[in-house]
Amino acid sequence: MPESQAWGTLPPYKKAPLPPLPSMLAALGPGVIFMALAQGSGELIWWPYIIAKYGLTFLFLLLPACLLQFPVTYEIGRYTLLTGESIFQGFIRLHRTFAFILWILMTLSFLWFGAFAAAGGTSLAALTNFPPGWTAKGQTLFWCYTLMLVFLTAILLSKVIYQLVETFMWGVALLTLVGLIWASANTEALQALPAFAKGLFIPQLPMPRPWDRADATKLLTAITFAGLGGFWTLFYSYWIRDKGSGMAHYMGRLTGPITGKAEAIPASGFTPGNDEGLAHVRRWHRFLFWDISIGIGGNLLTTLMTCLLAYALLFPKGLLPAGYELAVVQSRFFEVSWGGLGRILFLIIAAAFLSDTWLATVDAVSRIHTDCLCAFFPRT
Amino acid sequence: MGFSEPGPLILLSAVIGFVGTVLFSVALIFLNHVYLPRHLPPGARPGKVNLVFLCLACFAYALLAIAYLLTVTGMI
Repeated sequence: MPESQAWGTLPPYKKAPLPPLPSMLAALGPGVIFMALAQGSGELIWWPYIIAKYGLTFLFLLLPACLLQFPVTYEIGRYTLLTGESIFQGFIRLHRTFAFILWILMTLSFLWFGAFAAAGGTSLAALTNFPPGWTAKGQTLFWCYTLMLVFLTAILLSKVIYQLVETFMWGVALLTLVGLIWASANTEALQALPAFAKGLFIPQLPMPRPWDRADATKLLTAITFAGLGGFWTLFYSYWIRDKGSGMAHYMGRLTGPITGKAEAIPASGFTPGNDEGLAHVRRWHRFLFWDISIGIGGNLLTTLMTCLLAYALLFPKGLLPAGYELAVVQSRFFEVSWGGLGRILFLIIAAAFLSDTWLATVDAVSRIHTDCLCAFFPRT
Repeated sequence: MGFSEPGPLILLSAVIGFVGTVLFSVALIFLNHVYLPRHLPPGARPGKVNLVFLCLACFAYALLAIAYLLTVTGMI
């Protein structure tokens, strides 16, 4: 009978050779999920709001805001790459009480993540006006629950859950990228491009409007949560693990309960031995660099395009819708510029931006809870 | 201030997010640069450049968190 395990402890690391990188292209994937998940209210609403209100005064903060998360994300990925364990398992090893507090904070912050499905539902309700005759709130809730049901069904029917998430996120990333490039290729946006490009590095002064103190929190939030931000950044560890990157090759994958084949998932990870596997360390680090660059670079590109559209279409007209009305006004501009197809395109992009957050969050948060429950309440 | 409106929930989420970001960023310094290297062969240990960039990011996040907390509490 195994000895009982104390709470908040993990078995020691085992040793194994670091496997070779299969190929850079085959290994990529977590960065694409990063990019798709990072596209959210900050990119669709808050940064465009700041640009629509203050022009190019604060645009120069966007690039450093996006790059700020690189070192943190890299270190999160590196822990999993070199041990196969999730970052939360790492925090538990480091200090179990700290990890417990962090787990509580994370749980609190994700108690209401259903709001993202509701946000995606708002766009789909506006797009379809379905079910006919229902109130706007009723239609939003209809699409919200429909999205949740569709995603839940897909998860249950998938063979490997990570594969489903990655495939869906590839689709969202491509859709939003292509859609925004097409949307940005209009006369007004192209004319605004030179000034916009200059504003990326040199702030436009004086400010076109007086500073509103109430916007301080919006600006700080937009900077800190540019990209993934907050606890979402920790999810990167779980995508690296289920992709089987580096030492995660030795950890099992989460498979679907109906069509998937169960895989054993060890309670603790593996560290590289002092052997021929060390020759692959540099290549894996290079993969991590490029994978995260895709995530951050892709997110930066989409944010730049939403900001360009706000600068070209909203700022010159002095239009400043409040909060989520911004997305509605933007959709109307698309309609004026490109007809009904433009409005539909924008609402599809908005729905994709917001609803994919629910899928990635429900997957990653449940994995974090599993790690913590298994470590903090071990079976005796 | 109730939780039937999104405003308080958004604010609470943001505050928790700011605090959490600072906490786990600092924890990463100790995890990857103090704890883990003891279990890795020399060829797999992180370099000083990684540590410098990570420390800079932690410092920036801490400043942003302080600025945010001072702003929401009305002190600035």
